[in-house]
Amino acid sequence: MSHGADTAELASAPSGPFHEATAAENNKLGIWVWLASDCALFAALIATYLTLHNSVQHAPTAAQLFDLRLTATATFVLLLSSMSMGIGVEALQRNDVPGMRRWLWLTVALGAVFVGMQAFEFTTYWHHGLTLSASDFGASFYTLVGFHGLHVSFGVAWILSLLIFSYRRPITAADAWRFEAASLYWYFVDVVWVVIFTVVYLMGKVG
Amino acid sequence: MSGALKTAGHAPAPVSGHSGGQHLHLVVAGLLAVLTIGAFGAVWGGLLSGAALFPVLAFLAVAQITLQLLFYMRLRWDRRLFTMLFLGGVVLAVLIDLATKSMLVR
Amino acid sequence: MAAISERMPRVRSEAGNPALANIWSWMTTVDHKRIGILYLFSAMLFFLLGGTEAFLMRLQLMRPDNTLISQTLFNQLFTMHGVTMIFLAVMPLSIGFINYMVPLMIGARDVAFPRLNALSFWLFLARGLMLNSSWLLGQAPNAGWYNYAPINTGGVFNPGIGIDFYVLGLQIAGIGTLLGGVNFLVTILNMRAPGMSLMRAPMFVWTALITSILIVFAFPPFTINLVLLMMDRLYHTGFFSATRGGNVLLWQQLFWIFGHPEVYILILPAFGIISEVIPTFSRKVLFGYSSMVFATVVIAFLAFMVWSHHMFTVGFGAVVNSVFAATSMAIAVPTGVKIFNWIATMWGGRLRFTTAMLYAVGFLFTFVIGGISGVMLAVPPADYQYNDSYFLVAHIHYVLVGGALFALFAAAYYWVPKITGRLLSEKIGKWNFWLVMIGFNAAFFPMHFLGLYGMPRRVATYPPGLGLASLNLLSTVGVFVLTIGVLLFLYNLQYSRRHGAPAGSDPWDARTLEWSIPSPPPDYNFTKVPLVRGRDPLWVEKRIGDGTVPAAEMEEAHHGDGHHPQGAIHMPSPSALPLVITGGLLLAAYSALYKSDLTAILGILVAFYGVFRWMYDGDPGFHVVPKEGAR
Repeated sequence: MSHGADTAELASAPSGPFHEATAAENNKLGIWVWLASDCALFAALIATYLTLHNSVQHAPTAAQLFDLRLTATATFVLLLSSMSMGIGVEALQRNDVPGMRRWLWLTVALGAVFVGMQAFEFTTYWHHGLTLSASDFGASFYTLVGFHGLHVSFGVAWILSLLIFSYRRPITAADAWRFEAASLYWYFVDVVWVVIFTVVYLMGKVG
Repeated sequence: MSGALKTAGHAPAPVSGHSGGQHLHLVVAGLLAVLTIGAFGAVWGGLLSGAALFPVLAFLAVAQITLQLLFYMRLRWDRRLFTMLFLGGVVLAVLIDLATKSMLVR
Repeated sequence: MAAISERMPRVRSEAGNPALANIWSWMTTVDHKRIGILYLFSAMLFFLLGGTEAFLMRLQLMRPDNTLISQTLFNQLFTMHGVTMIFLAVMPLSIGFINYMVPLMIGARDVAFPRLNALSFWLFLARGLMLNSSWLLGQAPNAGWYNYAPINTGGVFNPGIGIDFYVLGLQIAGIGTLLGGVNFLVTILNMRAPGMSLMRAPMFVWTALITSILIVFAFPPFTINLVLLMMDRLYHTGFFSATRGGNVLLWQQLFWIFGHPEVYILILPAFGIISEVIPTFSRKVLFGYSSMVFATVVIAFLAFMVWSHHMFTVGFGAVVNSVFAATSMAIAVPTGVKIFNWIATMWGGRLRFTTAMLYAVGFLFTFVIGGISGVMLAVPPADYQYNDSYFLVAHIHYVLVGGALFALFAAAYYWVPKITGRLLSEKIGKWNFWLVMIGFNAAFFPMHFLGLYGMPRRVATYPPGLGLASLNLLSTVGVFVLTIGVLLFLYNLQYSRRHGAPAGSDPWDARTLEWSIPSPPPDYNFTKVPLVRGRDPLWVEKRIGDGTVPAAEMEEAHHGDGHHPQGAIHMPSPSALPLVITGGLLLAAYSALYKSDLTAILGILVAFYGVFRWMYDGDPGFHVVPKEGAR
């Protein structure tokens, strides 16, 4: 009884040679799945922050602590790093390896500056009495923003490892996806920062 | 644009897809900077306040994210599957955050 | 089998000892089939552990006022029983079959990321060992598998380090499972053989795909929840502390946002297994394939919309409860579609009641009972009555044992011949099935009534004279029968390894690609990439072709190393890096437990070294050439 259905389907047998998925294609899809999954990770952190950010106890509040000029500067630093990353990958596509290195070094430097600014920000708040255990605003703030900072740090280490890679080996076309994967991750970290900047800092300032 | 890499005799499989060129990166970065300044100005300069502020900030953030996804992350040119996957993550994220805020914060 | 033209590159020299070399080759393997076997084998050991814990609890509950086991130990037993069965037995058993079978069913030579696959396995094993080491190191987790705040935060509520094992063990687990989800999502989306459009993929592949999506989106909130709990326990934050402005419900919220999809992560592969077994032994195509696919997708979507039905009694109010009651009941619709499709597949088919088929049919009965009690639980006012009673225990066991585990038994009888090359004994199998079926129902059906009579779950004993004694005794007797049934299965595995009839490539006259290659399959699975000319590719060829799956015309492959011999198959190299990373993370986890910062940092550094070395090295792989004439 299933005969008819089987034969009908045969009409759509594929024609032409089969293209096996390359490592590049698999890796790129893998990175996108990971980034999609990371959205849920940050969602849980933001949910925690939204639930607890009004629980300030006796510790300083967001409106008292946040310096928007500092954070806006950090935002620009990260924005610039995204741009330099993009231009670096662009240079690699033109087979301009020295150009790629220059822009990626700039990206690494900007990323490091961003992490440094965050470290400065955290220590400042800490000295003003916003410790991890002082209030749940502090705990959820440090966890959310710190998780993003860890993401940035990991990205810096990743791009650094690619730079080392580029000095020690000839880069072939088969390696290009490594750079593209890192760039996707780097842009994503910037996307998350836009959300954090808006939800935590801008809205935190107005309360 | 993809065949530019010198390869050791293989068919090239370089950075895939369109990426818009260096020029585009500068333009997008410029737009992002303008949007960031807008958001910063709205709060710091006190240009807006109260009920109007939230939708404006949300709009500016969504605009920035969309620009980055479409042009930097190349979703405009890449497989639709990537867009669907990522949108799935974003929708779930919004659901989790809105539900948790409305259920747990009284 | 094929001759290997070039020796597999070894990770380290083998020092001449063949036994050590063999063990080392398993430890560094990246072959999805070997990793599948490792999953199945370790998960079975954990299953026995979890079963022993259940057995002890039933012994305690056999009589009223029994003093065999204290409440303190009982708390640890039910917690570890739940954690073990969910995270260390049922889920990895499903993942084991997915690992072994999905690449074969889609006509691929391995998964998309073979090395990542190995890492997922070792992280799973590490979590299992870490969790169970808690028995030896003082105290096992004792706050239930869902580990509610504030009993999980320690302090006066629950001193001791038991919960730390839960937090750190499951944190490691989460990473491994997530990576596995990414891996199978990419494998199924990118690596199907030519002609296998998604709508021609076997249902087991579909359920593996949807399960992967659930894993990828559901595990991150759990990861964060565990991070928050770890911060509460180690750094004295107050996320879940009501007295310090925290919110105890936050744990429940984030837990069930993960926890409900997790339930579908457990049951969807079972649906896939049933959808393979029933058509094969009915000699019919799966009825309503497209509606099956659609139902699976809808279940996955709804899985994220129902979490709060686990929290009906916390007081979110009528509106929230009504919304979640509606979405919860809605899940019965796609699930019902599946049940009817399976029945319709059997209708008018030429049924063969092998043990695999018996388990599949048994699944239909028991799972429907679990589904019905599920809908009963989805009614909020009634849930106030069932909540935290044995009614719930009955429900969860009907869906997880009568559902997921029955399907896994069916999968074992169906697929183990492909893995070992020998059939399992049908005679022992029938005994195995009937003992499990009768024992299971005797053990868990009475629990519905115990719950309705008011017996609370997780309490170590009950007084006489409440009318609970005889049903509890019946339940314990049922568990004895169930245990004998399960032990018979183990005996069957061991017996059939030597005495089982050779399976041949296609013992069941089956339908899908894994049956078109020898049992056990060669390292590279397919000598030639198969061409898929319809749904149920092998069956199509049996009906229309000559019974063999034709080879696909290939685009010229280009790997990193340039030239390779004609007809050669590219294989990934074995690697010790997954072990290095796992070792590093395990060291860091134990260090966090004993508050040793220095070794914790060392562990993290080792893990990072592994990660960057991995990214830096890449994998050139190697080539094998199948012998002439090999299929």
